[in-house]
Amino acid sequence: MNVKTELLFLGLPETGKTTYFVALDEVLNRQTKEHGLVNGGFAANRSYIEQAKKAWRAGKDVGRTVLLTTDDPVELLVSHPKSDTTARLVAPDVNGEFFDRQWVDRKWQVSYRKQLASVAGAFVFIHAAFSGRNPEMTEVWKNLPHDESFSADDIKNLTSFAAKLKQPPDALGTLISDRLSADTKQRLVEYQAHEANPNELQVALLKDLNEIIHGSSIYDSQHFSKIVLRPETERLLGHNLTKKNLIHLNRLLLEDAFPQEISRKITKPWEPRLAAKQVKLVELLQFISEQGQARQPLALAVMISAWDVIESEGKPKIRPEQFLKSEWSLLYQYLQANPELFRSRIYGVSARGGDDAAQAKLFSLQPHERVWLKDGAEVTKDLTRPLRWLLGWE
Amino acid sequence: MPRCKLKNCPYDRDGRCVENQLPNCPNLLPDEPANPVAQEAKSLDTKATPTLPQHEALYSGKKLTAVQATQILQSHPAQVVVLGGMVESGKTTLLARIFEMFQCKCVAGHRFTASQTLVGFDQLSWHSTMECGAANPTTEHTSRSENNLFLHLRVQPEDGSAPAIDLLVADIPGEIFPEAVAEESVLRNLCALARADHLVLFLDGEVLCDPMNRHDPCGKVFDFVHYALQTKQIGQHTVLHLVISKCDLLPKDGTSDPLKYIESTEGNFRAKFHAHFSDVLCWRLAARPEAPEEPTFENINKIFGVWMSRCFKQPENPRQTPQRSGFSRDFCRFGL
Repeated sequence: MNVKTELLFLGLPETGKTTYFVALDEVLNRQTKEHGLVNGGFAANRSYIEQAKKAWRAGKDVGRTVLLTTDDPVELLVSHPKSDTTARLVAPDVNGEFFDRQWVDRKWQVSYRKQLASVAGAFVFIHAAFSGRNPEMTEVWKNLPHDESFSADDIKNLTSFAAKLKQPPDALGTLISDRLSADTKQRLVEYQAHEANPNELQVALLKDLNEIIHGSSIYDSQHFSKIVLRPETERLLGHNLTKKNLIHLNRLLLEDAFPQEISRKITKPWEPRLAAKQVKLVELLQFISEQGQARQPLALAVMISAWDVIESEGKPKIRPEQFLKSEWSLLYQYLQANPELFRSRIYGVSARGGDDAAQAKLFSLQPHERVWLKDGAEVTKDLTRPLRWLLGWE
Repeated sequence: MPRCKLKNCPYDRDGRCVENQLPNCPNLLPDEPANPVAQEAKSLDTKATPTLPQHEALYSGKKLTAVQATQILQSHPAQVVVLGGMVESGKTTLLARIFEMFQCKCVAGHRFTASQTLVGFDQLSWHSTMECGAANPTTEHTSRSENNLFLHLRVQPEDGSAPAIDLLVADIPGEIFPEAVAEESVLRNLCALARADHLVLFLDGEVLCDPMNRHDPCGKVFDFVHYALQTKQIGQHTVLHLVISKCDLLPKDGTSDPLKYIESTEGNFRAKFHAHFSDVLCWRLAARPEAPEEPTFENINKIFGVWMSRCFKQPENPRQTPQRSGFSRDFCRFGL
């Protein structure tokens, strides 16, 4: 047998690469069809697959329960008996950090680039449970109310805060204390006398603080004359404020006024690793097309893992392509717009057969019989279909 | 510092625990005691047998320099859009919103085809959402150091009926904008302006509601156009846009003073500059309005569509266009 072709496993962390790898290996080993694909022999780093397989056979989530590590690529040899040909499936890094780092560090291994020149195609993994967009940014873009509210973690010294509010040491403390509800004031008295549950005082204080910041501006130059304001607060004071920004200003003022008692809400700075998953994935494909010297068009099987999440009971049946178009639209558009670079086909794959709740029902089946795949509108048990499409063995 | 024995745990990089069991995660390895002798031996050993894989750099994904942008202009049909306006006038938010819209679906009938500046777009989106807006309205959106840099986007009609076209967007930093009105050298240094197919100037709708403070930004926008015409950086080859941003903050009553002022400003803008440009267009946008208002998706789609559809005097194949051909949109207009 000759190994003529090589396929690549590509995907960010936690996208189901290992689970599919393991399931595929099992399916190949249990092949019963006369001309079906079979396992082509011992590949490098096979022990990784065997370790993961134990959890997979038990119906467990491989990614969550089997924290395996390997520094070496994981491989699988697949044989096509009819043509006496063998293909090698290579996952340079099943954990996916390798690919995430390409986006973050803007470099890749020379050996990987050289490998790209010889691959016939690639599996590209995404997870059905996640949207391609950045969830935090999406929330802001959707104009959901920005959460400026105080939460339990924001009060870092309740005892000191309670003392300052009960017997304000200055005019500012009095100003805030006067705005507290009668109920909270009563709890402050009880708290000082050790007669009450501190949690109840904390809840009452949080409620009042949130009412205060959502009200009119608490700033006046006299009360805040002795408070050291951070530059951001001072900048805001110089602006005509919208309602949204007024809430933010009030919060900053309270944080500045009680630095020992209230935590500062820190704005997360931009970091490349926080980018939207679909942006990262498009970039990985652009790296391949721009600098990878891969064949063009390169065949891509887009594997939407955990497809059972999409097609669980009661949910409308959709095609994998529809999911990609709506949830990973940038990636979808990129693939559609660049047929000269990539030819793609989109599959939904359930390499466990179902989620945790479904496993009990699936135990009556052999592990390789639990798996299923969605190709267009068709549901099939044939997990090798994307492989055959990539290799032209259909 | 303790390390984690699990390879896929990000603890070593950012302190997060994959199993969420900090500070008592059983996978944490204790600090190794400092042992100079052992460390030296380890170092020597590493030198003896270098096993680290060789790496090579990938493109940065950040905004393009004028030289990089010129390479795109010389190889593909491209549109250059220059955005200008005072600090916080809404330029960055509009760009971030357009990128956000592409992440959800096609924009103005165009699909995303490629971008050499995805990092730049992601950074821009982060600044527009997580670091400012509700959280901090005074964040410096486009810093001075980002002058003469370009975001890149390649798009194509959704149905594939026409070839892809590149869009290069330069955002004149808010602090430089008033300087360009005051100093000719600053204005002339805005190299993208001379190649701009579209000059888009922003006026903050919220500021226009302030009777005392609205005149200066308006005056600067008019002056900017006036001086850029004098220096011949813009002209008949340019489409001029005036964007009133944050229009969700304008009063709804059509007879109110701010709306009358805006209508009058738009009218004056058209009347004063119509004869000098290919077209003069006025827009009212809310790219990231306050709840419960909806963004003005229709107008954002429209303005993006105009940027992409109005290709002026583009050669069919720029590569075949002789250098110094006299072609009015020659790339030497970048001054390079």
